[in-house]
Amino acid sequence: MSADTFLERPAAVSPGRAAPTHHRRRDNHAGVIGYWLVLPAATIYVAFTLWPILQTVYLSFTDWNGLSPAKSFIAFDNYRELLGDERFFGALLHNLEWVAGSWLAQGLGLILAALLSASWIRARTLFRTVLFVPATMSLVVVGIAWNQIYQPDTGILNGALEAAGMHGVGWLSGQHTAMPAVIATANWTYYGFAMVILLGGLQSIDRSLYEAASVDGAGSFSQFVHITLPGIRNQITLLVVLSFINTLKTFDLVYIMTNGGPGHATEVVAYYIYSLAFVTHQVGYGAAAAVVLTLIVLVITVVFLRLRERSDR
Amino acid sequence: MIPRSPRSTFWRAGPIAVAVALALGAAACGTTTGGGNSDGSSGGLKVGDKATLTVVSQFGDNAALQPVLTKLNEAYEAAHPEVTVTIQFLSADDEQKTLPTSLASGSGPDIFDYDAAESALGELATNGLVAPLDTYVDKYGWAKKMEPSVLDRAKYDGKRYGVPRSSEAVGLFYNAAIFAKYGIEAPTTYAAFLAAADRLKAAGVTPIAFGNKDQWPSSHLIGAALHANTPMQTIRSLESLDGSATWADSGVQASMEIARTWAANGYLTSNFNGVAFDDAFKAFYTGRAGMFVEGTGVTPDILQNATKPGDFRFVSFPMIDASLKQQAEGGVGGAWSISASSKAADIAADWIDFVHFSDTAEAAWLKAGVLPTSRFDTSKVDVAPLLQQNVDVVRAAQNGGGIGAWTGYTSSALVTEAWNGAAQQFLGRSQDAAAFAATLDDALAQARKKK
Repeated sequence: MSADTFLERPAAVSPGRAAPTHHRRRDNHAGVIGYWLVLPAATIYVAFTLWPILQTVYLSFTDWNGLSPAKSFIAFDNYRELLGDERFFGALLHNLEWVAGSWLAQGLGLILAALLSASWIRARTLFRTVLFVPATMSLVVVGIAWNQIYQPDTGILNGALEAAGMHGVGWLSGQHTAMPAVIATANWTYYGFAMVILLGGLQSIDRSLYEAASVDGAGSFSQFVHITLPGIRNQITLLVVLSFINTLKTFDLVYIMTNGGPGHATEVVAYYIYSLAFVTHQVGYGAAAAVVLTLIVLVITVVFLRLRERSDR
Repeated sequence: MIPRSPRSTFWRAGPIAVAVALALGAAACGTTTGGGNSDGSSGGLKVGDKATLTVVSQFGDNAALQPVLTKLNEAYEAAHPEVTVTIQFLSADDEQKTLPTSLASGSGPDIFDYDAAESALGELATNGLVAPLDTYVDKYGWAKKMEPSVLDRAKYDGKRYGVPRSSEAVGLFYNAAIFAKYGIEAPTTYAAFLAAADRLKAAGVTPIAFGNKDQWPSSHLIGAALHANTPMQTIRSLESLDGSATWADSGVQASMEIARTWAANGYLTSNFNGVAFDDAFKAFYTGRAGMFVEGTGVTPDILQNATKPGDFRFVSFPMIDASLKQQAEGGVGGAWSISASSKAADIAADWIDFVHFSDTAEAAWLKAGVLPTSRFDTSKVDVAPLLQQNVDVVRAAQNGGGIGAWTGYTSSALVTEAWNGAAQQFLGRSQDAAAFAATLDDALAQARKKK
């Protein structure tokens, strides 16, 4: 008996034909064993995911400062304050800018995937590996490295600009350059991931569709619009929604590269939450902001799942 | 209905019960809190008892000071073989992020050194996480060894919670070799300081090394201008939650504006908001900038890392308002404290007294660049000229208008956090002095209201 058969639900039986007693007992027994098997994972999930989430929700209704044992229940005061918090919404706007910026990486990933799936390309595996390497690197390492690249005086970026006769730029110090600079760094780690996902989609498209289109006189652009794009629709949906989820919770690069500055020009919601909870000791208020961020991510995830279900049908 | 046997019930409901029990057990780990006595006595181990102590030190980012503390600790362990002391070195930044949480969970170290500001140690103390030291101040005579103005830097709500371990003041470092090369007069007056900056700029040398990516360096730069141009009484009121002064004060705003003119005139490192403190500091001690507005705390690094430490000088930041006596931004660099949950507070206090106040310890710290907080006679120790200049600058302020506070970093974490973002915008000229002051006053009002 295979494992699948062993764990599957008992089949429905007609009223007139009850299942043999020993079969029913064995099926119930199998179901209980299933619960025991998931026990370790369930324990870890409850202790390290569910319990902290419930604690965070509870703390969001208090004024706890994270230091004192005393905490007062203040109902929805933190949420009311959050509604009028310009800094929170400013940070959220930066997250959305980041989402939009990540679509550039997806575009680059699509171009690279298209090139790598072309029949004339040589050393495809080598290119795919090299282009994917940034996606495997720690964001802390990436942040430190790009900090050096963006250095106003000693960074290679300004060095290249000056060698070309242009003025150097304060990439991370300018109100209008810091956010694009951080997003560009994030994109450097993301395009390779997008490329691999899209490459998988491209390779699953039936080549005979292109041959038939060519016979019918369709050009490259027409083939791309009418065959390629519909063929990788699921992958594009996945990347767009993942970009929402990942960038809404982004923290590392901002922490390493700018501390949310200059001013609050690169502050994102997760960094603001960290600042509230661990710098200014407003744990209750920070928990409320975290709950709101979680709800936003949750809504987007649900929308994503619905979209996928619809496209699968 | 067939009654279920207990075994059967466990078999069915067991996974859920076990999962919940294990999860709650795991979640409960680390939430126990220790207790200390409010009178400062530990009620635990006494001096002479066998004990293991843990110490968290801020010297993680000051490699020159780690061996000093390690050697003094070895000497203490040799004198007290029944005691084992484990020291963990953290950067000040990392310590501020981790220590409050570990203290609040009751798993903090026995001893730690921490910024003595009301916004730092004061916040931990007033939340019951630090043991009051008044009993030990009397027992070891610390009040006789230190000026009250120094010892009281770690006094909150009428109790002493820390032993300040270093005196610090912000002043003006300059590279005498560069000044000599361009025939520039020493910047001992404000007019000479401005003339030096103009001359260096004309010569293509960065006049003042400044990197504000880490945000806190703006406190020292703007604070230097503030302390050179604002009466000490106003500064102390501004930096206290019990005070009434505000950042909107016209004199305070005018002082902040002076610092911004240094940026506007091109005296500071270009694109300073994107330059890390370490990089700006390195530019200074490697001879790529003429001046550096910083605290005495960086002196050990200059002595250790500069190719020619003898090229560097340190003077008081010159007073802008000539009617005021010499004063300086600063205070104490850190304070030794004992966790409220420590079961060996008596031994911890004994350790602090040993590593801080013995003549051997005072001399070792001074040689390493840590300026004494006690009345220790520094002439007994042969130190590098730059260190002696540090001592002179601190004493000049103490004997003059006084040492004020760490600007924007003393009263409350709320003000500090507001300062960090707004100061970058202010110096970067995307916010004027009035808007900068309004941001700080909002945070200050909130902090004062909470207290």
